[in-house]
Amino acid sequence: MKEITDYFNTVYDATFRELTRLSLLKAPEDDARDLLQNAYAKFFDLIRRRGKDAVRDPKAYLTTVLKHEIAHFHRSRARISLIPLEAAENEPADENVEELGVSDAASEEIISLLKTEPELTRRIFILCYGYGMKLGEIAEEMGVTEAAVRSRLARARKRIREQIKEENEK
Amino acid sequence: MNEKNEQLMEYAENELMNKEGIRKKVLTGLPRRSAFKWQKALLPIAACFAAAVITVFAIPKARAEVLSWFKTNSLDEYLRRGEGRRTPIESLDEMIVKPGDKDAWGNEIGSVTDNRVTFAADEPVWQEIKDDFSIELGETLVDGEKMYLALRLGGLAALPELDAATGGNATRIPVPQDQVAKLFEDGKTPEIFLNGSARLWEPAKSGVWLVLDDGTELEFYDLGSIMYDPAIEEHLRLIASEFRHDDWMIDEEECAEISRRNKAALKGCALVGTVKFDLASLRLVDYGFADPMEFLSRYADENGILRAKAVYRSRSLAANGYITKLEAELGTACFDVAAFQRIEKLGVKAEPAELSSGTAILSYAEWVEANGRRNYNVTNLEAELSGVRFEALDGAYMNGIGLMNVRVRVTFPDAWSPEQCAAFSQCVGFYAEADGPRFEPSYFEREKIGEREYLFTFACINFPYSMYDRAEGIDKVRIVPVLRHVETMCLSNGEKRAVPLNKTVAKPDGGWFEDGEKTELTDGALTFVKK
Repeated sequence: MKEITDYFNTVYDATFRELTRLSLLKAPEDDARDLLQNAYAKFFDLIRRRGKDAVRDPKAYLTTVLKHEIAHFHRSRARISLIPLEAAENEPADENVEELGVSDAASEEIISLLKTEPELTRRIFILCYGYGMKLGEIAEEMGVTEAAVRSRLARARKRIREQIKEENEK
Repeated sequence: MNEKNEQLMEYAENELMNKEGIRKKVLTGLPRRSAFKWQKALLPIAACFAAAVITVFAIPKARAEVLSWFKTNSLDEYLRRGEGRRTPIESLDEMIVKPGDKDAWGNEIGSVTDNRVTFAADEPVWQEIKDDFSIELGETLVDGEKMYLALRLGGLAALPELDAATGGNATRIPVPQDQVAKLFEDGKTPEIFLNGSARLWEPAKSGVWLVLDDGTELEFYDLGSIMYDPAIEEHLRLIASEFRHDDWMIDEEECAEISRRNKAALKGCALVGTVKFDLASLRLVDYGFADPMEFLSRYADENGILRAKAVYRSRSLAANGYITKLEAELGTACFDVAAFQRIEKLGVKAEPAELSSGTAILSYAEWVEANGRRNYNVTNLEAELSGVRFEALDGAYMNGIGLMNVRVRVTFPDAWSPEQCAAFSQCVGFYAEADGPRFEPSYFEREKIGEREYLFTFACINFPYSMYDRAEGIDKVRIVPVLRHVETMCLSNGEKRAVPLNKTVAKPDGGWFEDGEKTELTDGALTFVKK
C-alpha cells in the first residue's frame, strides 16, 4: 500500500498544477476543488484496485477524468452559463492590460489584495498572470467575450493599484 | 503568451484549491464530494419525507390504503399476477410485449429455447437440479428506462442449496432461501452450529444476471426476494417448522429424510416472479470507467443498442467467494442507449490512406517472466513507414456523448517483423478532429485481427460542453494517426532512463512514466462524414 501511496503522491505533485488550471478555467473555486478531489479519488481508487500499471499515462487519464467531472457538473447544473454575461463590453478596457509585467503581480501584497476581489475576477487574474494564458484563450474556454475578460482584469488592476497607492501614502 | 508567475500559481494551488487538504482526503479514503450543494440542502427534507413514508408503510393498513390510491401496487406486481388474474389497465397492457415480439426492447429475451442450461457443477445435487430445471419467460414490460421480465421457474432450480454437515459428512438439503434467511436472523450469523453435530451454511444465491460478452456483470436481480406460489409457501412453512426446534439434533438419517421429502414436494412446483432491470442505473453505475458514458460508448453498438445476455445463475459460497453452480441462458436483453439522444452514423469519405515514405522509431514493450518475477522491458526498433495502410471502417456521433465506436484498420507491409507490427500497434494513437476542434480518445482498444493487421476502436467523449447540444450534429470527422515512442522511462524517484535505438531497457522497481514526443502521420489521415 505504501508503494501505491508513494506513486499517487508523485503523480499528484506532478499533475496538480495543470489540473488546477483546468478546473479554475471551468468551474467556480469551491466546485473546482470538489471536481479536483473527485478526479484524484477516482485515480487513487483505480490504482489501489488494479495497481500502478493500470494507467499508462496518469496525466492524460487525470485530465480526461477531470474533463468528464466538469462536463457532468455542467450537465447537472441545468447548463447554467459559467460567467454572467454582464455588460462588460461597456467598461473602459485597459489597452495595456497584457503588458502588466510579471514582477507587478508577484508581490505578496498583490496576492493579499487579490483575495478581496470577486471570485471570478480572481480566477481570471490567476489564469492570466499566474498561468500565463492569453485573454482570448481564457475567454474561449470560459465561453465569454474577450472584452468581458479584459474589462474584469482592467478593473481588478485599477483597484489593486489604487489600494497599493493608498497603502504607500499612509 | 504572458509569462508564468510561480507565486500566483502556488497561491492558486495551496490556498484556493487546498492542495494538501485534497491529498489528505483522497489518501484517507474520504467519500468523494458532491459538487452539487443544492442537493445537500434538500437532504433534511428528503430524510423527513423518507421517515414519513417508512412509518406509513410499516403499518399494513396504512400501506394498503396508500397503495390503493394507485390502481396497482407496482408494475412488477401487475406483471406477476398473470393475464387471467388482472384487472386490465390499458396503459400498462400497451407496454407489455411477449418474448419474440418484433421491434420491442428486450425482444431477444426468451429467444433461447434449447439447451438452456449452459453449465451445471459435477456434484450430484446440481446434476439433479439440472435435470429438473425449467424456466419460462412470460411477458416483458418496458416502462421507459426499466425492463421487467416475468419468469416461471420449475423444479428445484430456484432453490438455494444448504449444506448440513452431520458428523463430518455433508448432506445437501435444498431449503428455500427466504426461510433460511429467517433462521439466520436469530443468530445474526451465516452459520449456525447445531449442538455441535450439524451446521447450516449460508445459502446459495439464485438470481438473474445481465452479462456482457466479455463477462462484465451489469446487474443482477436476487430471486430471494420474489414471491412464491401459495402452494409452495405452505409446503415451505411446514419444512421450516421442522427446522425451528430449539434443540436441533439432526442425525444423518433425519437429514436425508428431510432432504428427500423436501425435493419430492418441490419438484412439481413452480416459482413465479419478475425481475427488473434499469437502464438509468446502467448510466449511473461506474464500471471502472472514468465516466458512465464512456462505458456505454464502449459497449453500445453504432446504433446505440446495448446488448446483454440474461442468464439465470445459482451460486454457492466457497472459501474464495461465490462460485457458479448452475447457469442457464434466457436470451439477450437489448437496451436502447440512444432512446433519449440522437445518434448519427458516420460514413467513410476518403479512400484508405497509405504512408509513402519516412522512418520511425517504434517502442516494443512487454512483460517477461524471468527468475521467478515479471519484468517490464522496452525495446526501441526502427521501421520504414512506407506501405503502412490505414482504413476507416465506421463510427457514430451521439449527441451528449461524442464520437463512439470509431474503427480503423491498419495493415503493415509484408517486410515488417511481428515485433515491428506489435511495436507500431503499441505506439500508434489517433486524434479525432470533429468539425475542426481536435480531441484525444477517451477509450481506446487495439485488437490483432491478422498476421499484419490490427483493428483499433476508440471513442471520444471529451467534447466540450458547448458541443454537447449541437443541433446540426457533426458533419466531418478527420482521424489523424500519431506515433509516440518511449524516449525515457521516468521513475518515481526522479531518475530518468533513456531508451536508445535497438536496445532493450528494463523497468526497475517502483512506479514510472514513459515519456516521448508525438509525431503526427498526416499522410495517414482519414475522413468520416455524416451519412
